[in-house]
Amino acid sequence: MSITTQFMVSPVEADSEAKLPYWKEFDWSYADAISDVIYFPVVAGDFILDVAVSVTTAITGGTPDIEGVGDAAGATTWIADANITGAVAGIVNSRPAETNKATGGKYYSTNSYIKMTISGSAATGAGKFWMLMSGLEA
Amino acid sequence: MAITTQWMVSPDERDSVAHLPYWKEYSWTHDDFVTETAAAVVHFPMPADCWVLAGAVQITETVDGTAQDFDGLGDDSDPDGWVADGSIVGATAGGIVPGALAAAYMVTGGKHYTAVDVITLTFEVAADVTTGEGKVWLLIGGLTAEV
Repeated sequence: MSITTQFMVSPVEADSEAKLPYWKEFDWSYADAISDVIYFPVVAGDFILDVAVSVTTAITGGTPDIEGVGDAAGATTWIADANITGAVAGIVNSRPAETNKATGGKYYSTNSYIKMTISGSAATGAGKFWMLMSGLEA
Repeated sequence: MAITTQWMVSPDERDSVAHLPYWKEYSWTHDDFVTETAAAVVHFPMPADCWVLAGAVQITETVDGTAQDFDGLGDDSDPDGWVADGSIVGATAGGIVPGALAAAYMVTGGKHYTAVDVITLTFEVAADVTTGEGKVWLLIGGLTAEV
């Protein structure tokens, strides 16, 4: 009976393809910031599931902080200011309640960016930035 | 010190096995619709012992008709358990629409299909459909309960 059920559906199992999600990794430095914002490129058609940040060299100068990760829709749509600092130990990623994570990820229909805002007057600061790419092509 | 700590635990690192989650991608067209009462449904196969973590839908060609409307991605138990009715307004071509974390099966962290089942893509239809196509993705956990 189970096999019969399989054959009744359309499409069938053999019509499917496997697609792998993967992390896209960037290095970032305080020196990359334009008016205290570091921009990471997003390509039209990207469906991004998550973002993550590490700090390998703590931000110094001014009042050191990472003030959020977001995109063109807002400065903290991926990671709120309260959930990340300029001296992160380990890796911080987006939380389920945060805007773009709550919707199951975000599809970008045009070339765009994800941005990370750091505090003003930064004199040091570096780390890694990751986007969890769905691996799906729209 | 870190290495010493590793060796002291049981099981240790070498006892682990890697399993990869992956998206299972299906294309669908209006030719796959099974007409039901006021609804057109596409059935996708779900094998037994399959753990699904998420779902997503894309309409690449608009489902024609004035009253056509996306009614959800789910299964026979919950037709919009993976991508909720209302996630797509109408049935117009557009980008990838993921299931929100508030969707019924996302709230539970996914669903383990223990027996053969079907995934359903449902549209409300008011007339015969002559256009419409797209894709459906299921994020397969890669783990099985098989012993």
